Amino acid sequence: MITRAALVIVLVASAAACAGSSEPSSQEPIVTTEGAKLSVDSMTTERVAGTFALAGDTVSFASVLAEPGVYELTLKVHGVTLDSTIAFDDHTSSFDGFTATGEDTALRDADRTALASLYRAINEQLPKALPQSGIVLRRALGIWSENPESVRLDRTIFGDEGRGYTMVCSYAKCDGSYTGGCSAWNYYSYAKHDCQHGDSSNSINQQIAQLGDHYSGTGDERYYNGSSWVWGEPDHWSHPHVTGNCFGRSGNGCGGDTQYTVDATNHDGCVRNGHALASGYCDDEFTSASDDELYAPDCY
Amino acid sequence: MAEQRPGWVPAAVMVGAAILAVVVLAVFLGRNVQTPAMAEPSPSVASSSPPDAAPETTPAIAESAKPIDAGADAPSIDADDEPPPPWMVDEDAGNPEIKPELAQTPEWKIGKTQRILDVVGRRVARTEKEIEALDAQGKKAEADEKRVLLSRLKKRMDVMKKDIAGYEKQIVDDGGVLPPHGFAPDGAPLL
Repeated sequence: MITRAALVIVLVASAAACAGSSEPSSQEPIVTTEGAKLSVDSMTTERVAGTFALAGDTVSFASVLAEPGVYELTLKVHGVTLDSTIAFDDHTSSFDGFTATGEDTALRDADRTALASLYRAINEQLPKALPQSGIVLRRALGIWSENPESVRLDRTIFGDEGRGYTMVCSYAKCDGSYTGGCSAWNYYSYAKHDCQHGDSSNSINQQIAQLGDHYSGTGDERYYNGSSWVWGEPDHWSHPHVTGNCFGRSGNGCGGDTQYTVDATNHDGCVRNGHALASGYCDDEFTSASDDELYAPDCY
Repeated sequence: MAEQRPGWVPAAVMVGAAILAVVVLAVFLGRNVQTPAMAEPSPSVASSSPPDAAPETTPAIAESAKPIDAGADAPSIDADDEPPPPWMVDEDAGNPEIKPELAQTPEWKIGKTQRILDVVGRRVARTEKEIEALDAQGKKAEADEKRVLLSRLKKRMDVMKKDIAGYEKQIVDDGGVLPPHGFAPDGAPLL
């Protein structure tokens, strides 16, 4: 027969054992709005790892703190290994992607779709305030999920504020707030890109953008068609007024980090105004925005 | 290859109708309204991708990228969600000046590349030890996977060393001097 004292001792010992462990037990898989399963096996300062399953696809991910300020990331999707070594505090990193036999490869539509689903799941189902290993993973995933086929996976990514990325946090506000509707606009002029239609000084490659998390909807952006605001994608209009779906934010749409930068704005200007997300015409905007995604601080 | 844009034809019809409505309104109100450039022949109509460019791909949100008018098929919009017209601008937003970025000098690039090269070098050393341990445990599949990673890490190191050599050549060609201990990640010479 177990005495009350023995039961208390057992309970106290169990609580002490749990408090001392740094590796939480595996959680039940989270089922996302898309019907995917996100399983996080580890969520600690030293390691964030798990798997993601959707419609027969599986993506495994791991971010490990290898030494102070240095993270080693590995993702596997459709037989491709995405790997990076990130010296985060020094804003420099080496990225790579290869097949199971170590050959060069590129990401294709199906790969990006799976990675984008994982990115959405992490943003929607996990807290924004992840351990740093998780934040670095989320940002790297934001890059890989948009990596065009024409941009090599093996590259270095480095950048500092004022040399690599420039913050435009103030432009992400309207009515003094980063979120909510706007009664007046605080426009950024211009989001711009170069492509087959000309260089970035061509007005049809430029947009007048209200940045920030002010309107969300179905479509790349909200734009003024001359008489009203509609959702969609104007194709190389001359100086359209645009907003919505976190225009100007690093990462796809309203991702978990809140970095508004010049390069991220230009990338959105390219992929939301006549080019697909992984268009080769937006390669230079994508590579310019990569260090922003990885290293720029949050605006809020 | 012409860009495949989902819903392009319906979009053109709707935009044309919108343009007509704007012009009629302008006549009535006597207001000078900017009409979209699509009223002119758009170069994107006859454009073709350059031969080496990746084909235009449709991302996960492609189905929602069709132009949607705030009309019959659009989700209903609460009146409170209706944005102001574009000309309602907050003149007192007080945005700070956006300064041009500093040049990404070869010194700065050397500092950044050297830093990550050193880090990857240590990762190579750790990976070699992990392979030894896995081999000793008879975990062949895991060891082989690590060997693939090791080969890629070493390849990255080779590329980064070549990058550094290229940046150093730039400095020397420009009449500069290479400091004996290299550069820090911020581009400053290491003492």
